[in-house]
Amino acid sequence: MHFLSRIATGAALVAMSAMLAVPAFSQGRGGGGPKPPEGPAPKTADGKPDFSGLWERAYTPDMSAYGRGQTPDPSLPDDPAPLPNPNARPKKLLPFTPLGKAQWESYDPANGDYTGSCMPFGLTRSVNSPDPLQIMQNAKYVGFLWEQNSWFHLARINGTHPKNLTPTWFGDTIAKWDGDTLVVDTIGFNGRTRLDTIGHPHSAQMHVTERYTRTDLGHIAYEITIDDPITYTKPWKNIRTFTLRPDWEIMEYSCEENNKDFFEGHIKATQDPNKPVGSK
Amino acid sequence: MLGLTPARPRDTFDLNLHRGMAYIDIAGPGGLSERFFMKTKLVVSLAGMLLSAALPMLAHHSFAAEFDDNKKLMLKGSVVKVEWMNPHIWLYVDAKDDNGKVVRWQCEGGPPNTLTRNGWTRDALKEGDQVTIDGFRAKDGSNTCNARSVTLPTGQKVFAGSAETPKAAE
Repeated sequence: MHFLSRIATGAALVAMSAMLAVPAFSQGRGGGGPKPPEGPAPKTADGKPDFSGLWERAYTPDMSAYGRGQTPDPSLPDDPAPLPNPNARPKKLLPFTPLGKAQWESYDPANGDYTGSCMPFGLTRSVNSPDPLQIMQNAKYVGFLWEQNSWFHLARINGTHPKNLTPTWFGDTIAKWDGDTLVVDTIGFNGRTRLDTIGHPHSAQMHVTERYTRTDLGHIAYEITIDDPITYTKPWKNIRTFTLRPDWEIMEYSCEENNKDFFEGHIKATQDPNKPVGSK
Repeated sequence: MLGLTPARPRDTFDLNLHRGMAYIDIAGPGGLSERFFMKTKLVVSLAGMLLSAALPMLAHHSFAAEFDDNKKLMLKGSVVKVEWMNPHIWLYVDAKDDNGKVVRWQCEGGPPNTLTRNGWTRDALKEGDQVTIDGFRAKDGSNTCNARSVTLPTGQKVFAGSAETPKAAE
């Protein structure tokens, strides 16, 4: 962007922020909520950490930015771009490959975002969603029940990835214990999703590693690492804190139910006709 | 002019920009619905930074793909129906146009699950309620809007903040 244009845009954004009113419908659920329960991390009957419960997570629309409840990879360099307003959060520079950078810079959600037509968010974008997550667990499986669009996904504890995986939106997920941390390992993505709302790209060759540690009764320390050599020159991570919400119950969320924007043709259908990058 | 004062003390707002795409991050537990996203057009006037764009919430697609941030709208009318369904509620309102003719509008609101957790129910508005809606018109010229606020004659903003403390959101 031209330098003067950047200044004008920045100034305009300051003006915008000054004019910013709270959209009537955008108030989040309980900006605070009750104090989370206190106590030691619970264990299952077989002595493993028990992650069961309904968890509130910070909405993470941009995995490169700082935010309440989330921290971008501290090893990445800071984004030197000036902040658009005093309240904006600083960002990190993701280690794009040339291909990844081209994908990132050409992305325009106005031309279509697959979530608008209620296609599956995929693993990372589900993790990033603002609606709560129910975790259910036994000795063989950990189940992740995302309220966002009522999707679920299972991790097979001590499982192995099958050969010749059929690529899917959420991938194939196995898990193992590393002490009291559950390490969740996912490959086999179809490459048709974006990492986050702002649209960071990934390929079908992405390998996602998530680490869940129940630090006490009320919290999970969560860390996700994106390893995708087609899109990024090195693995990078994002760190979160999940908070237990015993006062909530998970609710049904049918994205298709009344998606008038799509049904009435106000937005575009967005099934990318191109072969996803990194797919076989 | 409204400032950046958050609706609740623990909410903060970020305005982020990426190549003309902007989104608000209402920080902390319970922010915007995940699919909120918009591409905003910035209009810088000679008088200096008069900005026509505002930042209503849309959850699941680009704001600019459907609505025009240069077409602000204020509707005063009577509630016909509330569709309390995912992914967003819709309000139907009969309002008089400039010629006094009654015209029906449909306006998109927030996610019902979020509103429910804030204590709101579909019964917060009933048929015949008189409301004022501030929002943005759809680009396609239909009587469709994105509602930024819905206000009752008492001044109470419906579906904003927590139903238990509606004043806090005003």
